[in-house]
Formats: sequence, structure tokens, C-alpha cells
Amino acid sequence: MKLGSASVTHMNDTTATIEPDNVALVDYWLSRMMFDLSRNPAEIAAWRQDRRPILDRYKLRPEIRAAVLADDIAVLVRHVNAYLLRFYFGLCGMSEPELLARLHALKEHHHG
Amino acid sequence: MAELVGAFAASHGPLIARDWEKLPAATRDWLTDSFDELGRRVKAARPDVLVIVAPDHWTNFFIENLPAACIGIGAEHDGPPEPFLKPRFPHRTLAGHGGLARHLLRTALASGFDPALSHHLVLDHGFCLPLWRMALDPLPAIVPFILNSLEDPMPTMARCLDWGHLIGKAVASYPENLRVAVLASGGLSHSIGEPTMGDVDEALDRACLDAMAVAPDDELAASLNRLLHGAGNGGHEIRNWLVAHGAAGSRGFDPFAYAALPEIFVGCGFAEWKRAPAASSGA
Repeated sequence: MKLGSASVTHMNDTTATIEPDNVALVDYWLSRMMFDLSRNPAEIAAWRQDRRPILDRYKLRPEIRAAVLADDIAVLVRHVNAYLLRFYFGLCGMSEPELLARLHALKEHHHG
Repeated sequence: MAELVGAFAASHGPLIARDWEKLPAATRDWLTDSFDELGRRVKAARPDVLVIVAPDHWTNFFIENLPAACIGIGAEHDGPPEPFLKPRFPHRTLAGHGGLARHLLRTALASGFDPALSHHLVLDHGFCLPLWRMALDPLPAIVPFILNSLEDPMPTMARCLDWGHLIGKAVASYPENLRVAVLASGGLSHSIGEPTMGDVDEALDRACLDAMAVAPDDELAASLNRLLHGAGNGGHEIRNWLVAHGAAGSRGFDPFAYAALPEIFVGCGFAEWKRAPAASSGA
């Protein structure tokens, strides 16, 4: 298909299947909380001491709030962008080897 | 008229900077040699402007406002915000090239593309890590081209190729005498923050490289749609390579270095595309 006078050929990507996307699974307020924390290093110490006052600012569903308080990565990984998740756990003080171990423990589930 | 004088690709990864001193010597040597070779090739092309195609790692955008593509049209952009890169990369600001960037934007809009625009971007490690390792001095002006490869849904492979052809066309029609190169940053297979974090798939990477070397556009798009399902979330950055592929006219390329490097979580590749003859439209 050609558009206008462009010498650019626009392809119809018939091989790109339109799959059910994961946008519905993304939890906005969880994402927002992690993003805000990443932009506000001054709050990291307070966050590490007591997460609750900061969590109160966000409209988190009870199960998501509980997952944040418990570092329940099996829940969190399904509701937030993975890059943001990695960054968030770094801010929480989790070492990369521990994060890897926790993520890898989910592998069986992930593939299953 | 402007001329496309090169199209290149390089993987990136924060650990290349953050953990440089902790990496095995053989890894450091391989990375040094590969980025040096890339730098040698880019310097040989003598670009006045480098169009860098890279993702935005939640630096400029968030899920409230996430463009599929954004062109940086400002005269200046900020350098990397990441603490691991700031001390290593000496540039706090990078010169843009508003003239070429605006021409690219206008060409895009006239051709049925609808990119976002930014007058001032912050260029994170996706942009600046290859620049740091290549040690270009002086830096050419940068036209940042952010492509969403971070959060679903993303531009299709075909659209990425189209973007590349469009960049080639815009460069060829820019009236100023400019030497322009394209650098795709990111890929190949890698997985970040997922249960497969750290996994690298060498066979998949080599299949991607083989496809880019020989496949016509439609077959390439089909191949990558199939292959990228197993490439990890970071593997989506191969879209950036498709932009460079299209910009160079889809004429195949020289993947001059590849290594699976799980120690930096990246299937690490470097490439230079074959270019169209100077007088061609680039499409």
C-alpha cells in the first residue's frame, strides 16, 4: 500500500496476530506507586521503615496492597511492568541475586 | 542534500556500566573490542547527526502517556539520569538537531505516521551507554527516536520497518548537506524483571540475525513476530534494529559481533547495515 507521494512502502503486517493483551492486568495504582517512588529518592528511607503511610496515598486493591506489604512477587509480577518491578525491588533494598532467585522460583508457574 | 552514511546497531544493558569492574575480564575485553569496532565504524562514517533509535526505560514517559514513537526535536537533550552511568558518561547535555528532527517529523506526518514529539528529552542508558562505550569525541548531534518496546501493545514489526524506510526518505530529502547515521540500541534476547530474568537465547538471537541478513521485509516481519515470543521482554528492542534495517534500505547487514552474555543479562549483538547507493531515495 502506498500513501501519498511517499516512496515509502507501508506493509500490512498480516503475520502480527492481535492477541489478548495484558493491559487489563496492569494495575495502574501499583505502577504509579512504584514509579513515584523511583522518582523520589528522598522517600526511600521512609518507605523502607514503614510502607503503610505511603501506600495510603494510592487506591490499591486490598490484595495488591497486601502483596506489596508481603513482597509477594508472584502477585506483583502479574500487575506491573517488569522493568519497573526490577527497579522497585532495588529501591526496597533487595539484592539482585535475591530478586533473581525469587523470580526464578516462579519459572515453573510461568511456563505452566 | 543530506546523506545516510551509516546504519548500525548495538545492544545495551545497565550492568555494562553498573558492574563493569565486576565483570569477568573476558567479558570486559569482548565488550570493549565490540564497542571499539562499532565506534571505529561510526567514526569512519563521519556523521554530523546520529539518529538513535532506543526505548525509554520509564525516563520520559509513564503508562499515563506512552507514545508508540516519539521524535526529539529540541536543540538540546539531557544526559543519562541513572546513577550508574552519570559518573562514566561525561555529557550532562547532548546537542540535538532540530532541523533534521523537524523534517523527519513533518515527513512522517505527511506520510501517514503520527509520532509524538518532544522539545527536550532525557536520554537514558539506552541512548547514552553505546555513546559512552564508543567514546565519540566530539559527539555528533543526536536526533532521539524513542520507540515503545517496553510495554504492550507495541508497534508491529512491519511498522518498525516502515519507520526505517521513512527515516531513509526523510534523510534523503533534507536540503542541508548533512551526513546522517542511524544507531539502533537494544536487544537481542534478554529478560528483565520476569521469571526468566537473566535468560539469553543464543539460537533465537542467531535466527534473528540470519533473518535480518537475508529476508525480504515481509518475511523478516513474519520471522520476528514468531521468534520474539521467546526472546524475553528485552527482546522487543529488536524492533529498533528493524528501524535501522529499513532506514538502510533493507539490504542486509554485517552482524560483526555477537555473544550470549548472561552475566549482563543480554544476548549482545553489534551490526552495520549495507547502505543504499548515495543517490538513491533510501526506500
